[in-house]
Amino acid sequence: MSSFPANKVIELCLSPIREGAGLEAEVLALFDLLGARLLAYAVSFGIPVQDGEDVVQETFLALFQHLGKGRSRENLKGWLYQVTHNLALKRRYRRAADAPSPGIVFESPDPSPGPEERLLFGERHARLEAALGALPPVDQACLRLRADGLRYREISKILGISLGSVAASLARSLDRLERAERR
Amino acid sequence: MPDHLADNLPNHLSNHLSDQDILLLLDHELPAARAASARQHLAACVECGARLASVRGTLDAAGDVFLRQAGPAAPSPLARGHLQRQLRQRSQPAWWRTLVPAWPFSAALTAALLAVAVGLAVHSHSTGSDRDDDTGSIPNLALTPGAIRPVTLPEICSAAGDDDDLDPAPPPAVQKAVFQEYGIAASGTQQNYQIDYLVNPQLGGTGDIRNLWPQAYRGGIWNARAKDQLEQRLHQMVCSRTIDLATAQHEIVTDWIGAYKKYVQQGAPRI
Repeated sequence: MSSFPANKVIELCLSPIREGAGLEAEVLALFDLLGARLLAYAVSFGIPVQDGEDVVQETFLALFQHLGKGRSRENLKGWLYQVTHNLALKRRYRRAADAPSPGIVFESPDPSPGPEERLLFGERHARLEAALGALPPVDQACLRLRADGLRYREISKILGISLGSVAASLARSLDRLERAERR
Repeated sequence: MPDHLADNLPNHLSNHLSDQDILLLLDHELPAARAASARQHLAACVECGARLASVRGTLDAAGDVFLRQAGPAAPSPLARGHLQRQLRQRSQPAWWRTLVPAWPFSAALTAALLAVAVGLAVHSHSTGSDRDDDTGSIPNLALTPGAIRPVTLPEICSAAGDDDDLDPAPPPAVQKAVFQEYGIAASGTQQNYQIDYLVNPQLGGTGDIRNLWPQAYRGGIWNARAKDQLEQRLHQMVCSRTIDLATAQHEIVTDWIGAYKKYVQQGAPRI
């Protein structure tokens, strides 16, 4: 039989479980905090909501692996957005490359404001929403990531553009939004 | 923004702030010295103060638009449960790898434990069982995690007719794809299986392949007929507001057999 003392064996058995349980709780807490925002970010790439959900799942599974390997915990929020960004892009390219399968329907809600929303939130909101939708993808992404609380350095890393480009993009978007509001 | 003549301000504060400076200041991206200088200017310049308020207002309004767009796109109630299961599965191999080398098992005991692990893996792929126990027909959640669409109660509770109308058979091509995914040869086996919705349409499920799996009509007590009973019961409970739709969806995805025992009856189903 084993020559290990019982408590050491139990510790050997339980420590990975505790570790796993601790990481699991941490990852789920971050999912509760950021899942909705990351899903909205993934869907902003033009992929269906269900694909966006897959992207978010893969992102948090990657986070679990990242933390499990003892990798850096610095700026996990930025890290999550970056992974979501890359996975959503891949998913978009894959959907563009794949031929559609007959008979399979992907359901996704229409995000554009309907008449009821216009009434509820006013014309200003509707004009802004239309102006946001018309922004070039990088400008829209910069603005969205800024609204989600990311710093310029994080945005530049996620989008693969320079810090100066982030600032210029935001200034450009501001100008366009203000012109849309003045109409 | 049009150029303005400088007011009667000290030289170092005579230049108005550019929109980019205002943005950088709002977002705490200006170097400390420049930020201090900008704040000093703002304290004295009504025009730049008004411009900053206007910029902040526009950007906050844009943020509100994004927030409202994020609302309807919130992860489905199933998503968290699915993630949790995936995380637990990923935890188990690490535990197993740590345990086996640390414990001097005999070769026979090691083989027995490996057989249990293989049995569990096969069970997760099983589509039916001849055993009269709880380990009946459940989907492979890696292949069939479930898929739902936004629905309202009037929409799902107003439908009438028999079950076949409410849960239409998926197109043949989709059924074939599901059989292929599960490694079941399509020829000669369709009559033994029903391509079932994990979350049925009456409860908001879609025809997405990720919501479909082959369930045996016969072979074990936890078969397609038992699941039909659960679906009817949950639909009735949702429409009578006894439980909410999200709970019904969660229950059917995470453990439909447990849900049967909870909401239809304890023990074996009435077939």
